[in-house]
Amino acid sequence: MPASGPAFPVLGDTMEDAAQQADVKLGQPDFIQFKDVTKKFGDFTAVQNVSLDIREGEIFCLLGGSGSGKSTLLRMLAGFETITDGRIILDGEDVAGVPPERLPLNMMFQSYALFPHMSVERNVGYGLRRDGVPKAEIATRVAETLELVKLTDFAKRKPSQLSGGQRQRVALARCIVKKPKVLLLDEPLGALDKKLREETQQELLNIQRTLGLTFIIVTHDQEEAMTMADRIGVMNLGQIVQVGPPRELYEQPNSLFIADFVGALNRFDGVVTSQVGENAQVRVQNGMTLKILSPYEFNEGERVKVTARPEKLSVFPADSNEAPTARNALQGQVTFVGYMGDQTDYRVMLDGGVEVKITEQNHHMSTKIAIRTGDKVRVDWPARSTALYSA
Amino acid sequence: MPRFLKISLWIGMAFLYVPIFVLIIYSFNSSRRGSVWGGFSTHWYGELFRDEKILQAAWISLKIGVYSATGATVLGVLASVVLVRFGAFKGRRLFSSLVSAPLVMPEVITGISLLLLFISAEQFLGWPAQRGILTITIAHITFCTAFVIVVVQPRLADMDSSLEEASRDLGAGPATTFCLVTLPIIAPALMSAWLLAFILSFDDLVIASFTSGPGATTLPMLIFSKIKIAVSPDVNALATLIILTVGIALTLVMLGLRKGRKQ
Repeated sequence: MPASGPAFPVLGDTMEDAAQQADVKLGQPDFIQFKDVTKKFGDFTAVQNVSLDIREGEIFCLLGGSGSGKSTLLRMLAGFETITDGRIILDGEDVAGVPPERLPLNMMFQSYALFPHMSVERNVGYGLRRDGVPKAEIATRVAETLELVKLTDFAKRKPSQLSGGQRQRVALARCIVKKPKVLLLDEPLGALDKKLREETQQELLNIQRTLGLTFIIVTHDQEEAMTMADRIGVMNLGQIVQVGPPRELYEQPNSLFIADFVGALNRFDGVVTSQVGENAQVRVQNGMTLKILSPYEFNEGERVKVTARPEKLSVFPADSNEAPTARNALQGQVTFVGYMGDQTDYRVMLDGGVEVKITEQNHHMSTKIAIRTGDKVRVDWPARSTALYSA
Repeated sequence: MPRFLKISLWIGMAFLYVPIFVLIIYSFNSSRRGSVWGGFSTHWYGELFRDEKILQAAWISLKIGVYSATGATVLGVLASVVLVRFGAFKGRRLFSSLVSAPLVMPEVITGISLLLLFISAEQFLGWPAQRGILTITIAHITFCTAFVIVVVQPRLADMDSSLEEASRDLGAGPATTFCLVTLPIIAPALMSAWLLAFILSFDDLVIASFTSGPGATTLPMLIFSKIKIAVSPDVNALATLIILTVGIALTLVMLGLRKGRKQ
């Protein structure tokens, strides 16, 4: 009974939720189509055979590290890079060879790219003037848009007299005043501090909903992608590795790469010692045995990788009377306690010689508050919250 | 050690600027003989403005300066755009070295080669029919362009290219983008480049001497011909005025470059 082909994860406890996530707004499902798109710079392949459909009205995040090709993909769609191979179709029309000024989309640049010699008002009106919109209409639309982004009082200022957050809103206003079908956002929150970023995320989502725009966001920040996106496409080395709603990527990653990239992870190398139905046993480092539920069948003796999210693990004092909450209950010693207010991060060296990360929500005062570095503890671990991958 | 540095600084500055100070002082000398101090006077400045020849030469130099600075700025900006914005096209390195070669080319060589060019052009094409303001201007544009590129290219390279992309994205074609976004942003550097080219053209003696013809005597050429006979005090006055003009222009160049960098 071989587990053939690519590694399949054990499903989390949340299969139903994944389906519930898919309440995507109605719209043309293939509004933007990438068909086998490849981009080469000389010998270097930046984007390789990417095929992807983006729905009208959805927020799609391209997530990846630097050099993953996500920005190049966006720039091809915006008309700034030629396409080496394949086709990009936007609302039924091939974008190849169309100069950026003719495409019905606008881009918000990472650096905001505000024109330093023009006032906020003139920056926002720039695109309308290029389209030959009548003067009176330009004035009204600019004023409306500035009100939408709460910058009415700053209309006469130069970009150099604005804060980072205000500049970001000018850049946004300059795009949406043109009423594009699609808004491309390149690391839109990258230059903002944490608090401002959360506010701005909310504002962006509100504007997206109000105007019914299609958003394509490029980011390297997985938290940003998770909170904003309807769907995420994770890129690595120029290829799309997995596309899906945030919850699907987190709970049902299609590979160890995704599991590791999206969220934190504990990893073990092991060998399957037995499997009866869904109940598998895996021997990992130093003779520890883990009990795992897996719908996929593995051979006895097969090498596997085992993963578990830190928040699925619980930690109890070793002398606690509480009964084990899960099938795996391992002994260990605390090596690190990081109290963050809402949650606490622990690191525990298991008696088997493997260190695991554990994240506990601090919803009530409990005996756990007394756990300190060096304490003997028990780590509980549901068999269902553990994933198996062929090594 | 700091004292040693201070002293060397002053010696160096003296070496550079004492001759110029002496010249300025002697321009207010009432004596006819340049080497003897005969008391303070502004007599020679008055003399200068009554001298038709000098005024005419100054007017010619001014015209040539404006024409060549303008021509060199246009060509220099075009070359800079090609060097900065067109990526690694074939022959870019060769082009880059060729446009900056005039910076280090001995003026005598530039002068002779241009003279030969103008003579043969006249023979085979019949144009330019006569050497004069036009030929000097062409000659000055050739070497001033190199200096314009030196000033404009780094400024253009510093400019965030996403500004131009944003303009395209918002619906402007490449030409509109260049006029409405690129040019205003590099304007301070353009002004500096224009003034620098103007100074270089206004000061030039060697290349102008080779490419000039009858009736086109520039100010430096006139000064040089005057001191070949004898150092006359009105030349000191003239030189002082030129130093003043160049000094003001250079200050503007520096201010322009600093403003450009700040943005």
